[in-house]
Amino acid sequence: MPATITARPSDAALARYSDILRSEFCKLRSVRSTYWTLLAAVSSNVLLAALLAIFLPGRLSAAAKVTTDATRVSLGGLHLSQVAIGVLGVLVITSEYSSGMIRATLAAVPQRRLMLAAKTIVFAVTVLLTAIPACFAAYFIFQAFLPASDPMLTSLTDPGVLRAVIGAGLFLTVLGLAGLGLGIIIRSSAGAIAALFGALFVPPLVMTLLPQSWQTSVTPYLPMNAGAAIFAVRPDASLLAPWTGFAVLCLYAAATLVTGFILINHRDA
Amino acid sequence: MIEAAGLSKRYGATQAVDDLSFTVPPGQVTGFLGPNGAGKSTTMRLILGLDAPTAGSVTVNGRPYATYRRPLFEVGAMLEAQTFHGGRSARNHLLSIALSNGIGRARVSKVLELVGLDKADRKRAGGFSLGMSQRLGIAAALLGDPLVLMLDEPVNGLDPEGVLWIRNLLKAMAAEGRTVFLSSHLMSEVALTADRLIIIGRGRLITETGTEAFLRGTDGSGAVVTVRARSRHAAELATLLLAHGAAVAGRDGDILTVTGADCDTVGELAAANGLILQELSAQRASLEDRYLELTRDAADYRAAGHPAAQGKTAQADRK
Repeated sequence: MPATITARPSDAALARYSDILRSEFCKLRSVRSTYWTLLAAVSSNVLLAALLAIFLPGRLSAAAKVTTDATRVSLGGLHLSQVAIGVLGVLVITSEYSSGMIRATLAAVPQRRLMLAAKTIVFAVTVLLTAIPACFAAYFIFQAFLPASDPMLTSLTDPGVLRAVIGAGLFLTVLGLAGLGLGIIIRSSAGAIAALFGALFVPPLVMTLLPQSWQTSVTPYLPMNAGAAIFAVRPDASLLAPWTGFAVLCLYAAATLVTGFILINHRDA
Repeated sequence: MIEAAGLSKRYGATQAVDDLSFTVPPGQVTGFLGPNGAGKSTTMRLILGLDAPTAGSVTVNGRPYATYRRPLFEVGAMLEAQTFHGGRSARNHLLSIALSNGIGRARVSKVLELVGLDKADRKRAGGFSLGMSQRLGIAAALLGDPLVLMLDEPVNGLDPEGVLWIRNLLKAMAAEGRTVFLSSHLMSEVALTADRLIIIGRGRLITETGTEAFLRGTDGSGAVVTVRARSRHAAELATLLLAHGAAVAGRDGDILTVTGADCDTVGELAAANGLILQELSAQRASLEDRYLELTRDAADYRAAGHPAAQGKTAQADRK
């Protein structure tokens, strides 16, 4: 038996899990798409907040300002950052399939679900650590750019505001995880991105064709509406309670991930 | 040691691998030969557990590949198709694979140096030439300093220096007692490196034999090796050869095409009789001919038996 040059590391479960996590983090940090999508998410949050704070006060009546959900408005950048994070979630797995890297990955870690779990954790933590600060940045920049004594000025200690800002970061993370789940299932970048944004943007359009009673009962459960509940501070008839809505969004993401985790062991790589 | 037993893989209507049984022993270089689409790459994917067999099983050092917790120490594999993300540098690509098995940065630097990519390690792998991509694939296979090395068409795109390097590397690995398994569709390339041959056609085993025996035509597969001899005394040499039981298949001026005798016999016979030889060589073409003949037979048999099995499937091309 030939002598092995490299010292063979321990097969202990904990050592292996941390090795696989490090491998997945190495992959995430060593491609440009990660930086571009995260940069796009952060900058759209920040820029939209600044633009809204500059232009909105002059366009709203004093009465409208009082009833406006100023926290939700300050997070208007989510409309763009959700696209960036969703795309990143899809790409972390579909880029492996499109490049062929998946074969090297699965040859190195034949326990496929373990690899997917590591990928999911690394992606979720990275997005969380980017998205929550980005949402705080959006909130504070909006506040900072508002004219003094504007009725839209709020404080993090106001009811629901802190939850909404942190919740917006959680929303982005869970949305990205749904993208990851769809990517695992569909395995093609274009297909998974289309599916993710189709699921977000198409159902609200379809709802408008349905009877009013259906609209009011179903609309709050659509992925987009369920997700929006967590970063709304003022009550809105089309939204569920904050954490209920968030739980529904989590269920959607979990459904895609569970399906993906089931499928990966039953398909040829 | 790689052992396949009744290995079969069907993609839709096409039987890519059909009841394949073979053994790849340690301490030798085993060549895996077959025409394009014969099922070589599919077999390698089955060995690595990337694809699940329709029937049969395959083990590496006695265990299915998927049961290894740190498989890079057991098997280093380079697949024919590209297996890296073009946007990642060579070093980061190798590091991401290495880390998953607990292999450190020092070993990554070492294999980069070993394959000659240490100068290009920070470049995006997407810009690599075919030869550099091959070297990156070989580097990944060497990361765990594995007991089994499995390479799919390793010399594709390598320059002559690279071809020589990989040949010597594989021989050295085998000499250390490792199992070396390399596929190729080129008989001439494999004949230079491999001690043993596994030849397949249309997913089925055609023959499993020693390279020497195959070259001498003594492996029982019935084909004949020819020797080309050029001599000013061609007529006398032809008479002598016939007297020794060899056959002269053709004569073109000074050139004889001899069957039934190898180069040693022809050379010794000429020397013993004082005949000067200007040229003496075993015919490389006959080697390819033998191989083509073997694989063509298999193809005909398969085509007659299973009309649906003709050509490569989209699945096999997907790679």
